[in-house]
Amino acid sequence: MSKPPQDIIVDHILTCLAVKSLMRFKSVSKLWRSLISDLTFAKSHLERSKEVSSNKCRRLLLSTGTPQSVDFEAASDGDEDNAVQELEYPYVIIRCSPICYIGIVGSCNGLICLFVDYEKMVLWNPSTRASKELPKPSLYHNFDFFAGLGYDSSNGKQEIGSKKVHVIVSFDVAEEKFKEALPLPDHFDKVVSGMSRNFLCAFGECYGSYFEAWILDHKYDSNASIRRLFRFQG
Amino acid sequence: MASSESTTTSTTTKVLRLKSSDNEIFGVEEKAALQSETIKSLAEDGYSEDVIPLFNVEKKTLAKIVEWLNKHASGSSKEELKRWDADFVDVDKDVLYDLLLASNYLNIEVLLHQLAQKVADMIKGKKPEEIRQLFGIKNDFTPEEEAEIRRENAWAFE
Repeated sequence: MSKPPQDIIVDHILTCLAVKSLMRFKSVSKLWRSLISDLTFAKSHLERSKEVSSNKCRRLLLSTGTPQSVDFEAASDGDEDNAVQELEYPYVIIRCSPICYIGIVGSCNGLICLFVDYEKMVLWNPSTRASKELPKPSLYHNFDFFAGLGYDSSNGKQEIGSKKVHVIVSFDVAEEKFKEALPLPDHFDKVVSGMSRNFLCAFGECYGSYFEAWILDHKYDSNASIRRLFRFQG
Repeated sequence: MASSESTTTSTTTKVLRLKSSDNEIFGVEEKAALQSETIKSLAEDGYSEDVIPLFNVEKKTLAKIVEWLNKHASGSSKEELKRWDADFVDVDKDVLYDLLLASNYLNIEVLLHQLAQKVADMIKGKKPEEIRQLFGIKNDFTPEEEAEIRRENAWAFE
């Protein structure tokens, strides 16, 4: 009996599989385990999922008591059995119950950043059920804190931008290090963070008189900088 | 089959001749054949007037590939192609693997994806031991290691 060679299996067949099958197939052999756990494989799996159908890998996550994930494709096909799936928050969070508050502060490429009880940030991949608690930024000392999650395509790392009033701090998830602290203009009284395409941005309000959007630029091998995207009058 | 030697009109469709590893020659219109990146570069290398040798593809597999190339160059509607493709990949495992190898060698991306998706659909619900059997993979974990991985990913076995 002929068998497809290893490179076809990995590059073409495994990238078509759902994460649940892949987690199960980690126990096929040592080679399969290391291949499936590999970062390069994760990237091609993500690319492939996006390529096949942008709806297929799209989920809406609801931070209800039991978190729920809404599958866009199943929902639009009227497949009610598979449209909503109940998830479980990561163990690092559940074990410290009772918990008063769990908020989703950002998501990017299927990774979710959770903010728990106003003190703990946890990075969570609901598909693989893997999670990791993040260190606290050095500037962090009160509730006046916003965060977003972005993807730095230049090196394939996820970054979290966390922002205290008037300062943007970026945290490199791959290196697990806080990187830049960039000052925001000081004419805002309220600031929230968000994402535009894959870039972190900040939306500032100046006492209701005008609003501005600032975006965090990343240049290859150089420091980040921020620039104003637009302003509109309130 | 239109002759490639015809010189009378410029509208004559050019036909490339593909030779299987077991020496069977298939004539395929250029437009259809060039969906294969491998054939395309061989044709650019000057093989286009002669026979293009495909050393890694047997005639029974090449016949199927040629059938696919022709269909996908025929201007069929998207819906019709979808139905046709579903029938095309609905073959037994050995044929599927041969087609997979051939489409990889011939670098026909669309076909390769369709075949890979078919194999993925075939294996997605299977147990690890069934996968080992299917692909002839040796289990090199100790029973303890295997139990550990299964425990870590217990939810995936539900």
